[in-house]
Amino acid sequence: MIGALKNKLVLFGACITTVLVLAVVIGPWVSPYSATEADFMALLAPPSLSHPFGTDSFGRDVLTRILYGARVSLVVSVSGVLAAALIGTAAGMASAYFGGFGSSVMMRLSDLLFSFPSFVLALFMMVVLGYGVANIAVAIALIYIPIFARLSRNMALLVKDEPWVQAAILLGQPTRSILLREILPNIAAPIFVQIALGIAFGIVIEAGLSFLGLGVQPPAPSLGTIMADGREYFQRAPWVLTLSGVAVSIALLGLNLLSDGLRDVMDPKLRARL
Amino acid sequence: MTEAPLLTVEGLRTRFGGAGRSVPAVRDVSFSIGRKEVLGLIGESGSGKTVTGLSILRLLPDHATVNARVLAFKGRDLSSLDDEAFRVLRGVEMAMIFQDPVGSFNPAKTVGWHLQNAILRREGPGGAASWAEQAAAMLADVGIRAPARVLASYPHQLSGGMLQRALIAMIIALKPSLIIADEPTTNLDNLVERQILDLIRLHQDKLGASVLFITHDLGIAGDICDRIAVMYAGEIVEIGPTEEVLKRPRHPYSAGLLATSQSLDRGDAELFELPGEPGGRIPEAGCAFAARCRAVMPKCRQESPALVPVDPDHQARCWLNDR
Repeated sequence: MIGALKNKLVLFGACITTVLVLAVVIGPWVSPYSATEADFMALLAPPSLSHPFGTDSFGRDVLTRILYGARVSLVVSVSGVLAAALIGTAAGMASAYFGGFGSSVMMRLSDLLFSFPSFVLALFMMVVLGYGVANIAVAIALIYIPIFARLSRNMALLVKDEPWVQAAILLGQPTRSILLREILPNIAAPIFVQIALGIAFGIVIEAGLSFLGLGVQPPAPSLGTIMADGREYFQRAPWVLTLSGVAVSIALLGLNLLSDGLRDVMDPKLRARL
Repeated sequence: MTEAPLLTVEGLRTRFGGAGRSVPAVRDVSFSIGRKEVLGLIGESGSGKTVTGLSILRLLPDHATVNARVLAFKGRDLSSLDDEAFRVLRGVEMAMIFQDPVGSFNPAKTVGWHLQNAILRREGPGGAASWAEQAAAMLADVGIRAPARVLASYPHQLSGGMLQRALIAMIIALKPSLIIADEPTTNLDNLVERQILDLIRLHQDKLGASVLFITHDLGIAGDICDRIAVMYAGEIVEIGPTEEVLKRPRHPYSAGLLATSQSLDRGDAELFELPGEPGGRIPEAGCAFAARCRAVMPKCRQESPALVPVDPDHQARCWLNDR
């Protein structure tokens, strides 16, 4: 793990991600302001020492709201993507290894989900499932299950006919252990990369849904609701929308760099060089 | 034969592909391997030698169908065992050395992990405590000088020869009675090839195991095998003691293979070549080799010859021996 940090992309991405995660976890406790209580003495105050990101139309500190909002976004995105990775990878590996009719049905289903643009699919899920924070996580999971299923299926198909898998079968290892110990470690790298990318995109989906009013409901903060608020007062107080947008961009940059670096680092054939 | 053979195969047939348009890969192959015997299975690419080995081990994909009149191992009928019972037998009683030593190891795991698995497979959870010492001793046994370092290495950090040695150490750990070696030295250079062959022979003797040695190299087969079976187009065309087959081949195909190999050894400026190519369609009637045979007779194209004894212990499938 320490070795991985020698990769510049990983180091840079991990730094940004760690700082953001720490800020999101600790920040709301440190901040002297409330995320939801209005302060009518400081409506739409520009950035200053007491309000580094300024205040919004209710006089709420934008930085505090971003930290609270990012917390929600991160939890929703991480839980959705991890659930998808777990279910999707299991389904994809089983489909590759056992094949047959079930596998075909599963892959056609994932083709069906693939044929929708993911944000449209997310909107559709929210309409079906109902508005709310937990349902965003479910929507993200449903969007990502076919992606993980297909990724892991393709990788497992490449790996399962390798002689070492045959050798493991020959040694009489049970199927469960062949899937978990022989195949999974060899397809793990792209899955981890996909998880990092997925979390980044999950944040965007959450922000988008909340922006449209389908996710987190005001006055609760979320990256999307903050931006929606900021848009209304953009001419008078450009900092609300701009700075919350910058925060999202930096988070995405960090996660993308991290996932790129992880891809390089996790290739077992390159590992020795580190 | 004084004692019962370890493995008896009679009428083994393997076909690939679904009903209607399936292709035969192994056509009615019969042989037996005695205890501690090394049987060479020789032929060109596509002659069905590897498929024969995989058929015995049930390692073929689902679209292959395997049938055999008799498939007996240590007197037990293998075809009557269900997959679960066969899984228990395979690995411990029958092991396989694959052609590509690098590919035979899981690239995400160390060599030690593989050896540990093999030791645990043989000895059960009881072998857990001392596996590292045992593994190191086995690696030393196959001529690896720094066992501790190799145990901690990943497969891509070692050379092909080292990995083939480690693979043989795994086989030693399993203590099987039958080893199927599928061209174990094809990917190695000549010097290492020699060392690996010596190792296989040495440990085969120590373990008291029998070996089905699959190769296309008559020179190697001559060195290592007690008996040789020559395969062509999914059939055994000649089978007999190594000396007999190499000195007095009774089938034009074996004779041709031998001539190419001798021509190579002599360093002829123009190498002897068997005319034609292997594979292609197997004729409906007559001998499969007829199209490439130098001594072909009208009869060869009409009736297929049977595998008949030409000497005690020596059989060949050719009308030439019929006179």
